[in-house]
Amino acid sequence: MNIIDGQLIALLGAAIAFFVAGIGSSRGVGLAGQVGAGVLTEDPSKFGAVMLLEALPSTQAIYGFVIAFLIIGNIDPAMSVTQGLHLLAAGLPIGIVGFISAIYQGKVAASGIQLIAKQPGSLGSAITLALMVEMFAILALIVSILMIG
Amino acid sequence: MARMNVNPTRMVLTGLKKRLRTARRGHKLLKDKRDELMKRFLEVVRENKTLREEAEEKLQLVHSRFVMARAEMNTELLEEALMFPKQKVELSASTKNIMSVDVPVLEFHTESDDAGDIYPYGFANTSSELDVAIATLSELTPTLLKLAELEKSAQLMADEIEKTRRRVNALEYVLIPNLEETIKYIVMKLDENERGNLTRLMKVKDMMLEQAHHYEYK
Amino acid sequence: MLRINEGDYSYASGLIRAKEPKLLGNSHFARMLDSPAAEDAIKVLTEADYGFGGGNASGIFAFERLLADEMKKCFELLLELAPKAEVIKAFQRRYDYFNVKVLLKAEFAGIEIPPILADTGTIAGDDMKRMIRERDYSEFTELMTGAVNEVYDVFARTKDPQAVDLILDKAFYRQLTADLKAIDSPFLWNIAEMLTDMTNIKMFVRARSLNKSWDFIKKLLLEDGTISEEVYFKNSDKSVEDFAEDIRKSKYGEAVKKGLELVRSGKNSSGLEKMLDDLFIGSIRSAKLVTIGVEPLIAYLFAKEAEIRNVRMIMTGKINGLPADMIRERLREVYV
Repeated sequence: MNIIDGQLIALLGAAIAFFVAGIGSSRGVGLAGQVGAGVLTEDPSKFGAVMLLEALPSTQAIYGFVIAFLIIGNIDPAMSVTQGLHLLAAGLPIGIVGFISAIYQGKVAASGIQLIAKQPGSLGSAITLALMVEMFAILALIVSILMIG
Repeated sequence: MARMNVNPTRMVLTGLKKRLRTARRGHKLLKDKRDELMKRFLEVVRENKTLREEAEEKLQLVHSRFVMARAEMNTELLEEALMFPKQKVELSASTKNIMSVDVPVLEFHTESDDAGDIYPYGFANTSSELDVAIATLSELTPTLLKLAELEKSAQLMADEIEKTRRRVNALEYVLIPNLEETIKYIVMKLDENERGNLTRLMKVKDMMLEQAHHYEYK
Repeated sequence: MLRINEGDYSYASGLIRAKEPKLLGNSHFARMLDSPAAEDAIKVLTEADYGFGGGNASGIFAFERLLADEMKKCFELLLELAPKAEVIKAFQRRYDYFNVKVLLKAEFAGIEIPPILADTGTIAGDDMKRMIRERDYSEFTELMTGAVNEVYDVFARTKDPQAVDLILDKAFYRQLTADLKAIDSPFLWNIAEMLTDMTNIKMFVRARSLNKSWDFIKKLLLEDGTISEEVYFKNSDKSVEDFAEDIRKSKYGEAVKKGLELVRSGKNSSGLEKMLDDLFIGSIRSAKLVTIGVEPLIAYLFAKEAEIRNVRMIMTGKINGLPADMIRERLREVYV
């Protein structure tokens, strides 16, 4: 019997969607967190703003989780290899775009944290800048959902 | 005026008269010396004053230059820069005689002729303000030395003037009046003796006439 | 080549960025200048948390101590933050070379060592004292050992105290360039280049205005500059304006021209130094665009140095009653 059946390939797609996006988010949040810790050492009163910015790159992991969930929901034990490849392809956009956008969003968030360290009034612009990167993750999410649907 | 405690004899009188003459002459000489010293002293003081004003003005400038250098560099750097001077200066002191006063004459010459040798530091970590400060100070050095010379001269001359004036006054108000008084006293005493002698002689003459002629003034 | 792993600098960069707004800015300096007395000016420093705190900051003359402490504090912070101490140590060596100069001069002049040894170097002042006394150079860098030996040799022959400064200054810049070039960071390479060039320009102009010969200027000039020795040689018997004209096209051209104009106008005899310092701080400002990396740390170090220089100028001026305009003229631009 063939080990690589449709179900395994679909599960691989779910794994990519969550793991790759999750790794991206971890790195993004980690980077922002380190910079945030530096800022907080000097000025603990900025905790709220720093936390908000640090949390932004974590959305990619959530999107990855949603897609992984949808893929797993669509798995049928009797599915063909083609169907499995279909679901694997659906997992790729959020996996790859999520990974890259999370890292870049982390960098933007880190810069944003430095920005509010210097100008506390700029929290709004810092969040807006970071959210621009979010848009690509959201597009990837939509593409992934459409591909599953 | 106190008269001296001397025997009123003719010999002493002669001696005193001689001393009086010497004292008068000395008095006149000392008075001339005092006047001349005074004149020289005023000259020195006047020169000193202009020089001092000049030096003070320049010192003020040096000070402000150094303040600027200090502002540009930190204290440690400044001190390090000036720790070990490069140019050596030889200062020779001799004396000059003005009216029997030995006043100092200061002369200095630098060991090396290169005027740039007054900067003993490297240029990498020092400020150019320091160059300016050092240059100004170096220009000032001869003036300061001249000033020191003049101030000391003035001081020494003032001492000498003071001494001379005291001598003149001692002669004028103590020694000469004393001598005059003593001489007058001796002369008076001698005259008195003379007169006493005369009277005594006349009395003896009367007594001898009476004995010889039994003559009597009645 | 020492690699800089940017990720290691994220915490440090964040902390430094949060510290940058606390650097004194022009408004602080204006306040210090406008304060009626030195005592009031020093209050601005106390408010800015200068030095190590503690009560001995009283009295206006204590400000020198305060500034030295602040510099030390800055180095301690950076050493703690930087994952690779070599990056900071390269800049600390300036103080090692300074201490060596003091110790050697004291030895040659046969005087007691003055209490001016810096404790911001990589080797503590007291240790350095012992090392020089015992000729124990095991902790010195190769360049430093070489320079110290050269100083002993040259001084024994010429008895010229200036040689101590010349040799060690030159060695320090060679060391700085070597140290910074060994680190993989174009930002630091640029710093090494600019510091060397600027020092050369300043020294050349000063030597020219003191009418020094080429022989002497040659002894002064540092190697590794981007302006070649030829340019200096060509101008060694011309006016400094000709020199400014010759380097017009380099990045220093504008600053040198403006600086010389300031000097000539008589407003500021150290105008050239000011303009070059401003140029340098201006180029350091590129570190502001770097979110994470070694740049913010080094830029902070130079920003602090410039700030301390300004504070010293203001305080010295205040204590000695210099007119505020005269001080303002000389204040360097700040990083923030």
